[in-house]
Amino acid sequence: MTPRYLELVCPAGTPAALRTAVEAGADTVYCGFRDETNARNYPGLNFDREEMAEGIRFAHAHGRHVLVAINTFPRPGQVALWHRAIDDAAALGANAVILADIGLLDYASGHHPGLRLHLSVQAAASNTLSLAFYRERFGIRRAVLPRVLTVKEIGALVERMGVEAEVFAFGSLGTMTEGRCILSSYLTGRSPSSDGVCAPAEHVSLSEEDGEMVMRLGPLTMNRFGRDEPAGYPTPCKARLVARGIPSYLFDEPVGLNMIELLPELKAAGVTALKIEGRQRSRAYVAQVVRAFRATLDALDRDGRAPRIDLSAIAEGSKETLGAYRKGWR
Amino acid sequence: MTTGIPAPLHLMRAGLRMLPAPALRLVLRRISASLPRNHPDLVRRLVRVAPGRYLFEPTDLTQRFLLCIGDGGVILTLAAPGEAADAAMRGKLAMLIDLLEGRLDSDTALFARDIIIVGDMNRAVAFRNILDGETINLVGDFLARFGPLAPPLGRAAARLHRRVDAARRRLVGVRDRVHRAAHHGHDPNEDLARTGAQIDDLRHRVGQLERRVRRAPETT
Amino acid sequence: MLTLGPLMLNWEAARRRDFYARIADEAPVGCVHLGEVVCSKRAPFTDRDLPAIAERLRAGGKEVVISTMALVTSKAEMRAVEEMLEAGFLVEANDVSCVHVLAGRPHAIGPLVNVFNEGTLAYLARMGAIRVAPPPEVGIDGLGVFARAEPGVEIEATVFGRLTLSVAARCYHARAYGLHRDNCQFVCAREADGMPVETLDGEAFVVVNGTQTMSHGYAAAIADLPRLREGGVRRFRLMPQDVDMVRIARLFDDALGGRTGTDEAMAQLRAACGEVPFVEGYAHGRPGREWRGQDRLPDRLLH
Repeated sequence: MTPRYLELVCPAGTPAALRTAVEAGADTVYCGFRDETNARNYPGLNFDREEMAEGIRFAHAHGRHVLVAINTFPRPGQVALWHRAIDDAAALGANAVILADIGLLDYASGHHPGLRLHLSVQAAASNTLSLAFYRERFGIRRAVLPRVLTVKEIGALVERMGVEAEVFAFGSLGTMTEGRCILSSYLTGRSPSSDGVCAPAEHVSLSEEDGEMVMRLGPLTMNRFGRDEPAGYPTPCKARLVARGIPSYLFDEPVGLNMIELLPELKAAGVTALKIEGRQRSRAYVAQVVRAFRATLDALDRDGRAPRIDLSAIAEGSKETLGAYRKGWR
Repeated sequence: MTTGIPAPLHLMRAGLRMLPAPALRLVLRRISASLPRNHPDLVRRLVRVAPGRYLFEPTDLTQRFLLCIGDGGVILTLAAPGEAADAAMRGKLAMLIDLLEGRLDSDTALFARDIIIVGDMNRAVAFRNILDGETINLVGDFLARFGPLAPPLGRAAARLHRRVDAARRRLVGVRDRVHRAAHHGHDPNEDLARTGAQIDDLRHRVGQLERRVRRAPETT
Repeated sequence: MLTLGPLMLNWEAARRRDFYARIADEAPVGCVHLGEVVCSKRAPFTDRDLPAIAERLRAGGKEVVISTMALVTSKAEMRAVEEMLEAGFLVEANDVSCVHVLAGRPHAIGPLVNVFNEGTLAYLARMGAIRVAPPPEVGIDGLGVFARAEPGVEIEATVFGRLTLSVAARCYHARAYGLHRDNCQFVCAREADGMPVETLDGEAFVVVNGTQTMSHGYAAAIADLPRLREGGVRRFRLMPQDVDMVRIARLFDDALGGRTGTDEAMAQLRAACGEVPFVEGYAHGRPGREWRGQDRLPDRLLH
């Protein structure tokens, strides 16, 4: 069997990043509206309606696709904002919307039967039954798989899931099950599920104390980094914590996921698309990561192998991991 | 990330070290005045989304710089000792410039401990994200406003930039054809094989041109 | 009505049996949840004495509901759900895969399924959900919206005990003991009320319970009961902790029945919970770890 084309799905936090991603060789770009309907609701980021229309026009002119992430969970009594986002994404010609909430999937499949639906990683569907739920009831065409499966498990799942599989290839990964972690709102009142932010910037503070960089989230200390020790995000799941009297990275170290060396295996496993995380990061990041993955994918297609490109410098904690894609992570 | 300091930055740093404060203030005032002309959208969005006072503290210089964003627009000045600000960014001049000009990802710089941002993180993040939406050329602007070296340097750089852009556009064009094929259900592998060599050739040429751009100031 | 939620902690079999025997005989709760929610490795042990405990509770006049795993990972776990349905139990889904299996039959939805709004609630109600206990982030106002939107669904609020803040495939309890989940030696059984986790500066952060993190303090929503009721909430859930749960149940029952005032009930609750802090932020749309209640704990415990 000829391995299928691996679609490279790239982040765009701004219109400039969208253009950068297209120029660097993204097949598909994903982005969100400038409000809490998307899971990267950070200040100064994202697209207003006009910018989204322009971004979609630009990508389509280059033959690329745009996915609109509407992947948070509407708050009680406020679903209208999310419905409007779905209506607008459909009207602007988005190639698909990325959804997580059951109510929104119900709305989108009922009101926009022609709109392609992707299941967000925020829905954390990691087995055939939950995927069957979303496929049979809402007709999802693709699911972004949670970052907790090994390559072998992904292969087994792809055979039975009945929709396209998109997996994370690069970026910061949380160790908690996506969409089911409220540690951020426990400390700050705002979380990825409802507000689209983890460790919101207004609750983060950095300071220098005796050569250490101290990182706080809300009222609590998340980490103290030594003079030249690489740092990570102030997210609770990357905090240095004390259990049984021993300080450690109890949940996960500040490392970035990079499975560029597993691309041949993922391709063989029948994965449809690779997702690069990082809508909160800058154009420079987008350009560098997308170019590296583009070059590797092209080389694999041509020669069946690719030279290793080092991206560790831009990874969280300046360090890379294969995460759960290799057994032993759990 | 940034390996070695390019020559224009050397010039800029030397300029910053040598210029007496009044002359420096004049240069900064001129840069401030040129911003709304050269980057009207950027200035409008900064004023709307990220108003505030931002301090830039190059660790390899004695001066500190204050960027005030407000109803008066965007104004860059020398910071007085003990100047109050909403957020402050600290790091080597080269790092700060790379950040401001969009070449370096600030998260990357933070992870590597090349910079630290203190104060109101919400404003700092908003500022960073808005700034990332547009390309500005602080070093060029600075050099253009003092020194006889500026014109020839600027012309040489502009020429090379144009050639890099043209080559990159051709590369994107080839890529577009591959994507059209992929998205329309053709066998993209076939297409890829056909265009692979072409892409390699173009990438090689873009790489050569980019290396020349980096070396440009020394060679002119 | 008061409900006793599923036991999230890993207590040894004898303790579990004694605990539920006392609940069956003495606690004024109408409904008790059984079943392993946290860890597939614990499930064989929990399942072994489940029928006997369920029988004991039913003999004591309690309704028994089976809560399912938060992360369903194997076919065997789904088969176990089917068996419970055949045995006539009402099943509470804690994962969407389980919702898929239960659809078309009356069932309950637990706090680990993302029911954040009335759209999702309406859909689940159409599929047969008759009771829904939303996640902690849905505060008092949100529960009111739910109750008004779907009068046919009983809305349940968690009013006592630790709140689950995250689930994961990785076991943090094992990690803290330098072990791997595959060879965990069931170290999670060593802490009857979860393993406290602090920041580098000694501030209380969370409690780890196997693969889950939980609030460092207990929800203690005595003062919120009237507002919850006015909003249409009909069921009140108590989560089993390492305290005298019969006493806790009586205390909430008396507060609900108007036999004790809020201040008196709060003082009694404070006395029953040793030094464990309380949290209430989520109920009021604030950071979940906050507590502004009137029990006046010393400051060091409020951190």
